[in-house]
Amino acid sequence: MLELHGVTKRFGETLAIDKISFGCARGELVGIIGRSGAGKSTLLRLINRLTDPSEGRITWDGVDVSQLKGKALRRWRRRCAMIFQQFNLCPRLDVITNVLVGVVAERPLVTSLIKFFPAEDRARAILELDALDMAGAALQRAGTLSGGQQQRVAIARAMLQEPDLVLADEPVASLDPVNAEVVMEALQTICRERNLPVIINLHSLDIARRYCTRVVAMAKGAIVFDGPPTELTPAVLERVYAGGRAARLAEPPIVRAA
Amino acid sequence: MRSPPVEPAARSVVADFERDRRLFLRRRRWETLVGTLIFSGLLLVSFQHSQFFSSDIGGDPLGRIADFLGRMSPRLSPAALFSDRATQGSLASWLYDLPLWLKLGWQTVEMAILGTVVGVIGGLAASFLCARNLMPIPAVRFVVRRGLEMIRTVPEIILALILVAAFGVGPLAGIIALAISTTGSLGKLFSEINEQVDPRQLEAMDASGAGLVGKIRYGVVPQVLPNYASYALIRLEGNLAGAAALGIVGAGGIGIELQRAISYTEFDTYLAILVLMVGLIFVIDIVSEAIRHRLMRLGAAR
Repeated sequence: MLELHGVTKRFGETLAIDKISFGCARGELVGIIGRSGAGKSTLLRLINRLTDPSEGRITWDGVDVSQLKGKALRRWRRRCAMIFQQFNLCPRLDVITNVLVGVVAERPLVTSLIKFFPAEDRARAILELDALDMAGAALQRAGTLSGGQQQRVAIARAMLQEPDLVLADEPVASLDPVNAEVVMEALQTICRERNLPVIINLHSLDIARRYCTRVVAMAKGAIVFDGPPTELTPAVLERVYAGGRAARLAEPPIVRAA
Repeated sequence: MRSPPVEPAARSVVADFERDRRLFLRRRRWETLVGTLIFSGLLLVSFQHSQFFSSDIGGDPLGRIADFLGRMSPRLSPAALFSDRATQGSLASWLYDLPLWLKLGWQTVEMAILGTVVGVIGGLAASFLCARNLMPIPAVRFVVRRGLEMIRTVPEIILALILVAAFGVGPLAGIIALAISTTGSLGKLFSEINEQVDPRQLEAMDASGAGLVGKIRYGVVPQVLPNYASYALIRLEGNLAGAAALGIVGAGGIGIELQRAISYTEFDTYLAILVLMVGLIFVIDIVSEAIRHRLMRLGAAR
């Protein structure tokens, strides 16, 4: 189980994350919603330790991971797989090699350098791709695939890491509705079948309502709502997106010169 | 070996992939094999013709290098280090013509800067004319590319010899020679940078109805300015060394003194001038690094 205890992150004067405490258990699919700049991406990056917290502790099954360094830090990153909005594949590498990047952290340096991966790794990679219906494209360059296909390759790469935890930062924001559904279903399946905690930043409330078992809403770096999607009432949303649409509607309309 | 229980369906997926992979690798292996054979053949022939391994050098080449280095080192004596020029073993007697060397050294720097600036302008113009994504007419690309190749084939020193004959002894011939050869190499490097720009930004420019010049100014240049700067600045360093050598054929700069030092077998003078040049290159490198970082960090690109 992942737990955050009073985690704070400052960038200079700016307070990006303000004393956040929350936990996420195995099998939970948590959607994080909030306006741009509310701190959603920073939160994921803190958990994966791509950035360091200014204050507070992050623990996994009671073990503090916020102070890890060097090898132990890289092992923690391997255990919490990250999925990005822009997929972050290497477009010039073929699909199977992109997926095998998921095991590089655990393999010796020399064999990685010459792009050698044991048959067992290759078999795991192709099975992960097959589970996402992407086995046929294994030898194609990743850059030639569509957005939805690339995101599925990125998920296969994440699964090859054998993660304890999956973090996804706006994974469907640049996908069409059909591909968005394919990707969300894939993440849901992973969450259920492998009993992993999955934390997803989302812009779409509709997707959050349909797939998440729990929704956490952030505003100005703090959690303003934490509960099942059914409790996302207009009053809650007003608090989350306050100053956004609500405020803009209150502004005087722009008068155009005729 | 530990293997997880695999379902028959999964086993066939893996088998299918492994078969495709073998085919793929086999096809690629042929290409690699042929390429390697041709390349190593060429290498072998070159080694053979240049007598790289087989030439009869005789004696002791390393010893002769050491001998030469020995002759280059100045005979300084600690006691007389700060005495005047007339005293044997003083710094002043080693660097006996320092003011002239500094003056010529500075002239060399000026030549390098002017040659590089003119060459960068020429290289930029050529690079837009031969970048595949910017110049739609293949004939223009072809002509410009071949022209640049012709320039690159002629060594700077030969260019300078011709230009000294045309413009007379002095830095002008050297500056023009440097500018031409800089155009030749930067034109190619810049055009390759231009071809690697993000096409999405150019597409947006196209969609807004911008013409070629607008696309270059607002779609290409802001993206690649730091890269241009890197190449231009490394070329500036090269041109400093180049300008020093051009003086040997009378094209201005410190080279004339290098030439004189060699012909009068003043090898210690030669070393002094070389040290001076290395110092100048250090200065240029430090300054150019600062410029490049400024270009990269500045909030809004130009």
